[in-house]
Amino acid sequence: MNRDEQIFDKIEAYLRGNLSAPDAAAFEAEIAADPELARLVKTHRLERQGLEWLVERDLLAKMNTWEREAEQQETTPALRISFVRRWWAAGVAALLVLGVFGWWLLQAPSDVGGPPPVVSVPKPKPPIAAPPKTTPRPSPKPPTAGSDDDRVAGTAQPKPSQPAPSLPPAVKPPATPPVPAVDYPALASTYYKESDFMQKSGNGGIDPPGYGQALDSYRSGKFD
Amino acid sequence: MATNTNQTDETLLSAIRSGGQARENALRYLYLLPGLRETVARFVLDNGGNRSDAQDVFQEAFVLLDRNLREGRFEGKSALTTYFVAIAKWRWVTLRRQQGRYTEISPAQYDGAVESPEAETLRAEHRELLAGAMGQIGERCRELLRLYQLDYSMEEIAGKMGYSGADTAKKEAFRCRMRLREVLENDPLWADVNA
Repeated sequence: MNRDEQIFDKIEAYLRGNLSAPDAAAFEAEIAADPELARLVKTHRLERQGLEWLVERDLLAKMNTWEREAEQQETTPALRISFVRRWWAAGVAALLVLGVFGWWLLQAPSDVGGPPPVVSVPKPKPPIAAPPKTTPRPSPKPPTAGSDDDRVAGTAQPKPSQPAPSLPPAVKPPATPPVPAVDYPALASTYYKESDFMQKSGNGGIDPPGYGQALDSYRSGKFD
Repeated sequence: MATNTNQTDETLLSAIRSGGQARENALRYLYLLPGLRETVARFVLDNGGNRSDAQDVFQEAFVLLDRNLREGRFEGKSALTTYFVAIAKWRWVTLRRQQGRYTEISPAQYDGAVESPEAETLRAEHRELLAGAMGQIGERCRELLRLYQLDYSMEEIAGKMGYSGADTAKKEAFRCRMRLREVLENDPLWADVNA
């Protein structure tokens, strides 16, 4: 150990209070007699303040760490609860979304990827067999059976002033069961007479052979 | 205010003076002791301060408590927490006077029957000079000197710093001190401090 180190250790012991009272008193007498030693002691004291500054800085950092740890310990249970609650809420929300989506799929299958809706145009029916179900126009005079005016009135469009009739179910097509085959010849035989189609002969009679032949051809599927 | 702790003042004091992990555990225990922070905050808030002032005073008082305990200034005439609160009150009154705001608080209100805190904080100009110098000596020297200041033995320092033995640690400590001295003496603020 060189002299510098010896002086260093002596000053350090003095400033730390590690010298006995007689040794401390003797050293103070040396300091008072030696300006260079006094300067060294002053420098040494300031260096020790620097070392204390290091300890202070470290302790301040530790205090902030302790505070954060304490805050985390206080908030961790609450955070855990809110975390679980958040997952519960997310699960319930997901189930609701799935439920609504499934219900939508079941309720409107034709709107999603199904075949296009079949809009069936009502077939024109003979006026006698199926008169349109419209609300009869109020007439100032009671209708007379068999009159031409009444027939026209029954098929005419209602006037704007009248309440709108119920629209045919074209917007929402009903479930379309398979249309049964219509026996048109039978219908024709039921509702029409030969005289409605056959030109009268010159003698006022009908041409029965021609009509019968046509009817037979139709029934046999020969439409040529 | 008595020290309502599970650990006795003697245990805490012994741990803080011994240094190392025992010191850190004891300081942490005191720092987080329920009621201590609130007592200091109430005093600061009742005497012209705010929450931020209370936090600063609490931490500065804790630094002073640690130093006073290590340097043997606490004589055990009062409970440790009472001593700490006295330091905090003394610190707040000193700060208020430094700010030019007279505070109507008599010494009896902050140190009462306990011994004088005898606490000193680093002067601002010294703090600036020392912080600048410490920034120039390197991290290893800073850590070694910190352990040295906390009264770690040279064997403990050698173990923590990875030196071959106590002699090497002692030489390194001396080298770091000389490095610090050189930096300080070359600092422009040095002349002002020594004036």
